[in-house]
Amino acid sequence: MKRLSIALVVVLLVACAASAQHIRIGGFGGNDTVIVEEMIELFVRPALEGTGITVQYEPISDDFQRYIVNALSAGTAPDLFYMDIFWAGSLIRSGVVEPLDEYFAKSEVLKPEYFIPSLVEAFTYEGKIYGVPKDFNTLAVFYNKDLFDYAGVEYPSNDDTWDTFYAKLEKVAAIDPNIYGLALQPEFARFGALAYAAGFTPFNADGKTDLFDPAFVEAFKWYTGMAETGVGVMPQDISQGWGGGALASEQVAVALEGAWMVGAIKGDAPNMQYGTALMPKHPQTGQRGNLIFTVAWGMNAASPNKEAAFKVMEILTSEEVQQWVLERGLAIPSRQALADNPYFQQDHAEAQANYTVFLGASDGNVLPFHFGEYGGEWMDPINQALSAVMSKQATVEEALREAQAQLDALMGR
Amino acid sequence: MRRASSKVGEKLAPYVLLAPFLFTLIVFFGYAFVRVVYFSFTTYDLFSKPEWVGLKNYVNIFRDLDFTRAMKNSLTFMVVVTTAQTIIALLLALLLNQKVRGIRFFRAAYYMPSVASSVVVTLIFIWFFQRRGVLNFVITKFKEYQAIILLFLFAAAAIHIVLVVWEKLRRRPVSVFEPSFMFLGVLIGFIVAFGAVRFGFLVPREVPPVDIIWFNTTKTWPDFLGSLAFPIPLGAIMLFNIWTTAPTFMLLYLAGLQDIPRELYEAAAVDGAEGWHIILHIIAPQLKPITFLVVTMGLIGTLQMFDQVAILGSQAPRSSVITLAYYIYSNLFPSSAVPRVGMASAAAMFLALLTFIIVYAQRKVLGEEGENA
Amino acid sequence: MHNLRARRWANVAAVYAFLLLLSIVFMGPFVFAFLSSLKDNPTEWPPSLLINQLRPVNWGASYRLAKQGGGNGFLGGMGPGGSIEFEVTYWTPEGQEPAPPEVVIPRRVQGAPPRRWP
Repeated sequence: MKRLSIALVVVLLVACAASAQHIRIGGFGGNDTVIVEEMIELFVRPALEGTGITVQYEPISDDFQRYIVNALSAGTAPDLFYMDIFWAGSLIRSGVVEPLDEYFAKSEVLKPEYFIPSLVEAFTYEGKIYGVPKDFNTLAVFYNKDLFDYAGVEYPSNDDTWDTFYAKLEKVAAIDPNIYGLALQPEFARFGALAYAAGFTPFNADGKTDLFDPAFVEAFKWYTGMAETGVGVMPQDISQGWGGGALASEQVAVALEGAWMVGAIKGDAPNMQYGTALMPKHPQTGQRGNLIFTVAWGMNAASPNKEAAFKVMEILTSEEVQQWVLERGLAIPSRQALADNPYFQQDHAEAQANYTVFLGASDGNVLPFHFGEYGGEWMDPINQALSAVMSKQATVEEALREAQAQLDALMGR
Repeated sequence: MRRASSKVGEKLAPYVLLAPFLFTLIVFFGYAFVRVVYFSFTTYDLFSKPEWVGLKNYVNIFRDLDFTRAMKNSLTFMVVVTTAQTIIALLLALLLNQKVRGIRFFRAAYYMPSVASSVVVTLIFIWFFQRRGVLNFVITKFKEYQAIILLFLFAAAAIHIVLVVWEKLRRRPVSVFEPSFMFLGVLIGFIVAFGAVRFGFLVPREVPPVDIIWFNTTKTWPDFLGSLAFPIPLGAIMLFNIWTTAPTFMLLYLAGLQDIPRELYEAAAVDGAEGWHIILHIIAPQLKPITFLVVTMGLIGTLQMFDQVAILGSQAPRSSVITLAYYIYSNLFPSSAVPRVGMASAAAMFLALLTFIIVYAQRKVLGEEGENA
Repeated sequence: MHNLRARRWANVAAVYAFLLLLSIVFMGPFVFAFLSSLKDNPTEWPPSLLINQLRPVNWGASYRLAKQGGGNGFLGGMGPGGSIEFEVTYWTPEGQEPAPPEVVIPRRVQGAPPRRWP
């Protein structure tokens, strides 16, 4: 009798497992845990009622890229996961991410056309789309209004070129030796936008990087020159870890940051009056440059429940979810339809900052923040060169030659 | 019959008892080791099937500039850190082996760096070594007060020398390092320096803040060593690695010192041995097994140094701090690129072989007594 | 005899001095890190060991302030209708009428958005 009941239970369990589809979602820990959990509770669960699909969020607070590479290799990866543009390419090339074109064709609510083209483009490899962008960020000019008022200088505007922008910064920096114009984070993740404005591309037609490209050299000299004249300062030199921290310390008038800055100001400098403007244009090319930081939802190619996973993806990237995320000021939506959202037109600094960052994605020379198969190793030599010049350890010429040699070695490998 | 079975049981017993340990050893080390050996002859990226390429990985790692840098860094690190930490550990142990009140407190205090987690210690040090960090501040202060400190040292030394010479002239038996004179010298030196500042003969100099860049630099030091000089960021890591590991080995030495029989000291005292003679002829030979242990553990530990480089991350140029262990890791998990498991495995095999050779050579040099350890 | 005693004493003093000096080397970083962890800005320059959070004067002042604001000296906070003493010293150029300063209490917004930046 007992044996029979056990057997029955086993049969029942197997039956349940067959009909119920359990979708696991992998993403960042920290704040994302709260947001995605709430998103699932408010939108995903109600929409999936009766379909037998259950959803679970698995936050990873450690290095997410390393986790997902290991999990995909070991076959324990979640069905849906975050894919940062910075490393998505290596996963996609390995064939562990499911191409989504077929699903788009069958779907009624999720089409790639609904999203900002440059974002979709960033996750397209060899004609196939591998990820649905969930949100994005670009760089914008965040400035401290009080410092500009104090110096009696006009605020940075969307019409600024490098020259007019520099002139404004110079006047602000003249207030006091301990006040600086621009936070000069020695990183390509900031400086790159300026190099792109001047016309630099990370890889030329032969797939090589040329740091002695006149466009790169010009941007490099302009950026590092500000450290020399005291118009700008490296955040490290005023005991700050990043440009945003420097801005929040109110010792620096301008930082080139993304929408993450809004939250940082809320936390660190809630009293600060700030504004935002688009990145300055290059005086000759008349173009702005920008970097796109974006994260997409990717699907595990080895997932047993792909159809169900795509259904969940449809909900996660739906307009109403993105609207909810936007209204809470959490991230900037990737759907084109939300461009003229009333939220953006509100008259407060946060909404305007988000709008400026939103516009940044489609104005001028905008490239996604990734460097092919080289990834972060491609940026390291440039970051070192920036830092070496700005801390007066090397001249521009020396630093660039050293960086070029390192890049050549990297690419020759 | 019965006897035979009990004999079998007797032979089996040790293996049964060892089984849990052997199991973990075989599964987590043996199996992993075999896999690494196999992967080192293949190209493998964790996703596609491994492909046999023979010795290509081994050839490639030697062509890789990063690998040769890593090897040089690792070897420099090994030599400097092992030497320094062994000597410092011995000196600390000698100091802490004295019988004075409260010595337990000092033993605990000195052991702190070894107890604290390596991550925490590294973070504290990263923060200390910033361009506007505590270390540069201390150096700045030192430069400001240089003249005063020199005056103090000079006065203290002068008084000490005068007193010693005075006693010697009067033909009294006095040691050159007479502690009471030293104490007096320090006291008077302090008064002199304090007075000089108080009455305005000397004022702290105005110096610009010292701007030594400890991490974000490709410079090397010391210059006269040419290509043998080590990168400054590696030097910074050496400093705090010595700081954290010396106390661990100090503890071993301390245990060794306390094992030395009293009779040896007494016999030496009867023979009129003093100071350095005791250290050289009694303590050093008695501690030889401990030294063997300390040096071996030091060599292995320094060759495997990884965490401090990993935590330092992008704060220092990769080429200046990369070590063999970090090279392996960075090939296994390159930032946003496909894992190069083959290269990583080949480098791991090389590191294992190198460690084995160095430890073996060390054993030959330090002699067979080491086996007692 | 007397001399021997003095020598021993000096010996012990020298040993302790040396032990203490070295304990600064081994404990100093931890002590300094701990003290700095109490500061508002642990990376301040020049680094200082005078920590506002550790001064009893400040404890007293903050207790009084919290009592005025929220009625509870230990938990602080701001209650409606409370009045807080506000003291400020400032300079104005000669001849200019000093304008009374205005204090705006910032509204903290609940739920900081994700702080993730590349």
